[in-house]
Amino acid sequence: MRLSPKLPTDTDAPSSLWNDALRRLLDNRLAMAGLAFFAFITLFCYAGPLVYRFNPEAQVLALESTLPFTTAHLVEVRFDPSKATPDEVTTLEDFAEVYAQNPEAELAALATGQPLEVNGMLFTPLTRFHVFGTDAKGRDMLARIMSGGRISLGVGFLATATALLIGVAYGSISGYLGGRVDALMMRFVDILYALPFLIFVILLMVLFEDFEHKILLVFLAIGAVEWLTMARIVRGQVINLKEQEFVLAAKATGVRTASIITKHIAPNLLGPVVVYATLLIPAVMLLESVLSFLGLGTQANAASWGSLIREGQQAMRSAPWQLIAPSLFFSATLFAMNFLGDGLRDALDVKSAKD
Amino acid sequence: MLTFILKRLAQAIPVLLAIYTITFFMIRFSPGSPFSDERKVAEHIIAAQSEYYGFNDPVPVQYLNTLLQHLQLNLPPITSHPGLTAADIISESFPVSLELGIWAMLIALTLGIPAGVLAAARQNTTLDYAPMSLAMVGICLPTFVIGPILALVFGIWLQWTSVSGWSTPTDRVLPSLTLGLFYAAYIARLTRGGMLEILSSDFVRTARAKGASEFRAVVVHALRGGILPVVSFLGPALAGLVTGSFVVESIFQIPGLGRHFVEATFNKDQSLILSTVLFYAGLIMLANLSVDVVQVLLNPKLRHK
Amino acid sequence: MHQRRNPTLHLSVFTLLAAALLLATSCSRSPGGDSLRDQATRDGILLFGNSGEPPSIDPHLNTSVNGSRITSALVEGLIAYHPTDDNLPEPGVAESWENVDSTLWTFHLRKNARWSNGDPVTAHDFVYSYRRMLTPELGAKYAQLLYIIKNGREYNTGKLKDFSQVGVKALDDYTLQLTLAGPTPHLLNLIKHPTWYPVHAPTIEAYGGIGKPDSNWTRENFVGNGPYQLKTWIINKSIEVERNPYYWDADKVSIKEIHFLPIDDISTEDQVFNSGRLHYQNTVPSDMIPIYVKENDPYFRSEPWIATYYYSLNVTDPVLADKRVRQALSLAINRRAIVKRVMKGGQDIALSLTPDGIKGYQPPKLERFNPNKARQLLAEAGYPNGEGFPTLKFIFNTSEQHKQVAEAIQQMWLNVLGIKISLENQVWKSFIETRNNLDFQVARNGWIGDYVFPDTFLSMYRTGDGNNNTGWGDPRYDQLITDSITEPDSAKRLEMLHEAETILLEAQPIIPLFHYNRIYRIDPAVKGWYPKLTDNRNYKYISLEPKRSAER
Repeated sequence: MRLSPKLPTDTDAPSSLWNDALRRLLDNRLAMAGLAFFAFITLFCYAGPLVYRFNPEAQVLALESTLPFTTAHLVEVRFDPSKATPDEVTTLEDFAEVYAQNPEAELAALATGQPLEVNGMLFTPLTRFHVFGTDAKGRDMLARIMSGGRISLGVGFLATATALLIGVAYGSISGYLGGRVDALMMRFVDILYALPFLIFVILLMVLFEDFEHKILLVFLAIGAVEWLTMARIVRGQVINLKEQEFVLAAKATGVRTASIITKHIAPNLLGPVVVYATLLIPAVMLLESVLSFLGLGTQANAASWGSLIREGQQAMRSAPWQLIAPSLFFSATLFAMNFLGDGLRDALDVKSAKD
Repeated sequence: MLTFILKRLAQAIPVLLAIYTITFFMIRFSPGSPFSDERKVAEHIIAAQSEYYGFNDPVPVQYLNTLLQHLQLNLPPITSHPGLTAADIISESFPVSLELGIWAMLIALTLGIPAGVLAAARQNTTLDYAPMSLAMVGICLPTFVIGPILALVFGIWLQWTSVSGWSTPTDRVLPSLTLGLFYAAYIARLTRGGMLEILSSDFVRTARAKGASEFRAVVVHALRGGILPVVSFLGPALAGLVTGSFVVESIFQIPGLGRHFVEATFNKDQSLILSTVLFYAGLIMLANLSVDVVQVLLNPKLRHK
Repeated sequence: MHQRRNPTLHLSVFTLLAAALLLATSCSRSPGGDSLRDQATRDGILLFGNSGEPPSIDPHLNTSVNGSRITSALVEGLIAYHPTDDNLPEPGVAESWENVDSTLWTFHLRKNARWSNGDPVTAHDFVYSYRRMLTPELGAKYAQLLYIIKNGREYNTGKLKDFSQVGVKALDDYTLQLTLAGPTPHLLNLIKHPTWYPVHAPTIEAYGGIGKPDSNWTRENFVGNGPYQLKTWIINKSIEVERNPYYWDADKVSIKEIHFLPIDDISTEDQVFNSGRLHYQNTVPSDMIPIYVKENDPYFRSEPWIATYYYSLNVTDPVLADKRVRQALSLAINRRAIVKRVMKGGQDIALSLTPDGIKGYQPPKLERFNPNKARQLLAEAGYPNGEGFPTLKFIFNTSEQHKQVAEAIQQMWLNVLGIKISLENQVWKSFIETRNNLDFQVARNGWIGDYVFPDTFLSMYRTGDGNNNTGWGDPRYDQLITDSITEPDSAKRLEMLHEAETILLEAQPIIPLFHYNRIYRIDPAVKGWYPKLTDNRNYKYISLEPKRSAER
């Protein structure tokens, strides 16, 4: 039935469960490709800015929505020639319209690449090239994708990990203990499901108005809601599992509850948990963008993949690359993680390991 | 089984009370006045309005009054649309959301479960990768992206469907698809995961060994246990679907309940928030209860208890 | 091995699909054939994009622009909107009028005006309506607009209980007399506002009486006297109005029905228009504006509007108390770039609070973008190159457009002055509270004029005015505004207002950024729709003319 993983058939060296799993994982090409791609994306987001040195937050309004792979010719305007940073960066047309006294001659002078002084103001020609074009504010898309990736990957993983931990622990305990405890715990989940999330977010914003690290509030807000479905899924599985023969047998032989949960039940939960976790990551990343839009989370000019996609969607018809570029990185990363997740699930599948 | 259901219904009372209480105080502590406006509203006007809607009463009195009104199903007047009550809003918009939710759920189940089962039965083949990759696309493209794209392609270029509204049958197509495809993707992934778990378990192998056909082994023996995670997921998903999605309702201009949830919060409309939250809570509990019943029915061992 | 697929293969397929899909988007729109809109044109139905579900269609309670578009179809005041000129009075229920010293006004009502149930519209209805508007228990938010009536304020605040002392009187069934608190030469422009509309007294009484803030007569039995009457109202779906057979001028009403569609998502509205389901698109998404301009879109319109987008500065803040700092902030803003690169709608840059285009009024102007002077002023205030300048707290209400403008200005202040601001957005109700409490340093603000005269903007900046929101005040300014209101000579009034605005701009508690344009799209089949500074429409002058078959 299964083509992968291919295991050596010699039986004289009984390897441990974890070694087996690792070997199966390493043997799974798709999972390894996913891992490699994922490592590449992480490296790209964290180390990329060292090589690709555009400031993701620096706007050049004159460069708004520049097409990918095009070179733009601009003019730096300094009202005070000795000032280090320009007062405005503008296009050649706007220069001719607003600042030039003798447009044709001055445009020709700028075309030579030399700075030009007119009326006590300094004009320096400048060319810019943006691989993935720019956004509506003339900010470099690639740089924004890199910095956005750092936020999204961070939030995606930490918040998912939080949801995972709480959800799995809560669901297993509730499902395994059953009875009144289960009823109580699950009704608590029902309460949390029904509470209005938006008001919760607004309250968080008010309570932590002067709090420095608003990004932590995002974890709080996401962590508070995303574990609920995980808990329900795990509970459903546990209720099913605890009636299985091997659990009943362990119980009958007097194995402690904690040990039954961790040794016998938890490994069998992995499939659905891994699958749901890979579904949670994109949901969490997108939720982060909603929270940022509402004002909880990153500063207005900061980027995340979610907020880039959101902004890109609005420019879908006028500047489609602003949607396509971040969507590609987002989807590719999730695909990679998904293959890795599937590989992990296969590798840890205790039952099929007996094949 | 009947006692189980009755017990659960009894448990709903404290749960709803808790939800009411927490929501009530959350609204109390949130900033802003429901009566403020772009143009400054005179203090005596705000005072008069607060008096009429009972916001000047001591908090415990308000708490009890509003609770009593909800218990008698005599929903208190709302402040964001004077003249309307939460009952008007819910009774007009819930049927719309319910219908949209049912269409979306049908799409999600009819596409998601077969795709997931097929993928699991043919693990690591094209029949696995193709639907699962599509599902990943569905998950990676959020509804606020896929909705406008569908509207543009099918509504404006091809002119097969309409892009907005909720009157004719073609109005239903795009919103149901937008919402349904997203959930279909989730369900497909969850079904596949659950099925893989079961397909490698002993009793399915036994069934196979006994010569059951592949179809029988997969569909009859494995599906029952394999869709457990999907069933668990469906409870909250169902309640979420039938009470409407703000995003899809905005994109396709559908007069559903989801928009009111959000608008009531932005308008700080206490009565409307409380009524809709309690309504949603009731649905969540009902959905989760039905899911738990289905779970018991799917597991013969639990049934005998 | 052949069953294993390279993950990048799927990715590239997806990429191609997505790219093809999206790139094609920017190319063309469908030519449209016989759309729903064309059908509606032939049926005499105007499909009207109306931005969102109005909070109310009770003329006395509604405070929204989209709500008043509906009430002005359903109800008619003494004076109606003129089809072309904002400053001309168009006779509504009042046939003629005269005044003594601009203080005692007498209106002669037409005898053939009818409510939509057939009852005659009388002067008593107007007395009842003004009483309702001023009844404290009703809590009408715009009751203050009626304070120009003698004792109107006293009655509304509860100091006066006897309405007969308020300056509203029915001399007979068809003669209404208004006694004002002081001379008000431009009264006729003020009473076009829906707060001055009449309501049908027996209906109001049947639905809970004069002081009931949440009566549902608007929904169950809307009785109006306008050219249209309410046909159906489905929340968040549509409000449909049809011709009112009892309207006194019913012969002139051309369009049979108007369907007001509350589409709050502006991208959706754009798509709905493009799919041929609207005659009128209320808002055009800013990224689509350059495309429509470039394509010479036959529907696109951009017209001046009496509205200004500006920032409020909190002058009670120790840093912003220094006028030089406020001026430096204004001089460091490149308004041209904001309008051209962010708003993209060809708006006029704002160097004054009052927009251009008010007849006889040329507002004083601030200085344009001048980085050198801005830096110099900031240095004089003690912050050379922005050193030691604290991070300013900037608040705006949650909206994509406000965020875009704020981000651009954040960068300009950093580039030119070397100062930082932290952007903070808040949901609407929180934002209003924060702004009213002066719990900010810089706040987003905007104002749409009620009528075409400078004081619709300038009166806000009187000391302690509810809409001042800056903490600024100047006795000379207050005096000028107060005097101007009662000044009968129009030229003199404008002169006084000009001096007031000069004081305001010199002190600079506000930074005007740009004057809004009315940017919308409309089907050329809609006739009689003229550019108007206030964007108020009198529907009876609008008609639909189907395309002739030869043109199709």
